[in-house]
Amino acid sequence: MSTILQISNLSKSFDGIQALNRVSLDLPRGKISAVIGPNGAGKTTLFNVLTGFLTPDEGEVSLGGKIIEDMRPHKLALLGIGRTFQNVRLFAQMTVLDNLLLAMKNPKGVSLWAALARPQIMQAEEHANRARGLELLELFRLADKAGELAENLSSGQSKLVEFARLLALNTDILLLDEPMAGLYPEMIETLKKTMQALITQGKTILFVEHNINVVMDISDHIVVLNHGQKIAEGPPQEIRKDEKVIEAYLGKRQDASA
Amino acid sequence: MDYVLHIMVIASIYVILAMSLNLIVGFTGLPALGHAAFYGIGAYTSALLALNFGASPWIGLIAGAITAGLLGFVISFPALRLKGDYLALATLGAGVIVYSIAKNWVAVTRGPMGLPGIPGFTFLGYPLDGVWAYLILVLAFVGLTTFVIGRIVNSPFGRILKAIREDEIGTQAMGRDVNYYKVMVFMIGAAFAGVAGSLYAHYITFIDPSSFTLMESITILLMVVFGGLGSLRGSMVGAVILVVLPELLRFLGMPSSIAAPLRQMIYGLLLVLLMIKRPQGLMGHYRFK
Repeated sequence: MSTILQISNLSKSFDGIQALNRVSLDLPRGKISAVIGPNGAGKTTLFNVLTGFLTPDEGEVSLGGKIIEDMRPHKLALLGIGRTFQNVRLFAQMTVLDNLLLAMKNPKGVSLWAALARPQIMQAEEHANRARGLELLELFRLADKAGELAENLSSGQSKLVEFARLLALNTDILLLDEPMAGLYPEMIETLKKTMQALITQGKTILFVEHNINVVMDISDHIVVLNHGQKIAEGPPQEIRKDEKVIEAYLGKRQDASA
Repeated sequence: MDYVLHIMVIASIYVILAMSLNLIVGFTGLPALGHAAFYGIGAYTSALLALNFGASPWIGLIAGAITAGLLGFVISFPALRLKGDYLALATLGAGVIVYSIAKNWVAVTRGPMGLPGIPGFTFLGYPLDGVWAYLILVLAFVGLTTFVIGRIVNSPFGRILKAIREDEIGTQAMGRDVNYYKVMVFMIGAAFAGVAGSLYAHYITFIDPSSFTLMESITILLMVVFGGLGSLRGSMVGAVILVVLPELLRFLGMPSSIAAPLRQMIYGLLLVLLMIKRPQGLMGHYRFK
């Protein structure tokens, strides 16, 4: 099993609160990994560090064996680490389709020069991107919302559009922060299938989720955080039985839910 | 008749200023309060080149656009670190600095005495005398500004600007270098303000620092907000209305000692009314957050 993202000794504290305390983990390539843990365990902080929105106090991250030197957010996104946000971040006063188009590569059409002097080239690229955007929206049965302003969507729809936008970004690694929260059961199934389909396309997923059934169901690998520390790591069947995890997160009566 | 044409020339210059500021404030969402600095540096560059080196106003116009663009480049750096009110204050400060330099660097700018006798534009060797000829010239630049800024905001480049306005963090997460776009937008907006400054200097033939004060920056911002943030047509309408409306006061036969403060009051009143009735501006869609 090869490692795509190697995190070593990552620490981050805020005003004395140790949000991440020397966390190390290897993200297996082409697998679904989950991060679980109680609120305030450092899951979102981990995501924020991995996507460059927070600078770690210490520790480093390697992608494909190479230490990432420039941890600015847009650089990481271009390197292939994409994410969604726990509090969905759509471009509210823009259309759903524009939200997706923003994520798509448009090397020919994005320059100022193209805008001023080469509209045909820009249009051709736009046309292809639009078609791709509608395709992605159709995955979640949202193609009819393409022209709607993002701010007019329900919270569940926003969540799906954000996921579709991440697919439009087309990164190798997808970090999903609570992708299932607030979705109706049928859509959770769709999302699970989509995640599994992404794996067959060679993508790597790391997600934070409190819906423990989903986590146990689709994860190949689970990491458990508590108080900023990694307390366990392994396949679902091991995690389910781990005393420390039961103590910190799953609770004693885990047989009722699992 | 010349009077009406004159008002149209002035309104057109303000249309250029308002559209260029709209690119920064309305489309990219960066609250900038120092647009008069770019306007002023364009005017001074162009005027000084003509007066000291006998340079053609056309050269001056290009040089004015370049120096204003460079100033925009410099001023964009605080914009990379500051947000919202803090950025507004920083750009306001930059505007005050440029004004102070124009006022106090007497050896070059003649300070408050101003620069008289700035030569007018010529076209293919013929001097553009007559207000109507200037109107055509200025309208041509309105057209150019509309074309360039219009193309920019309606392109994928412009879509990223709007995304920055909506959510900077989200824009970065899409792999877009927000800083690059902010610097570009400041430079482009500033360069067009510099063009407006040059057009103004060679039209009026006299400039002094009082044309490039903080009040001037606020007036331009007012035109943008009044017409609608993120709407180029709005900037045109906003600039024209706010230039023409105070002129109408003259016809009420008011002495200038009353008309001038009344102008300010009308601006204020219009803005209050607009914020209550139509916060997105006359033609805008985008609402302040």
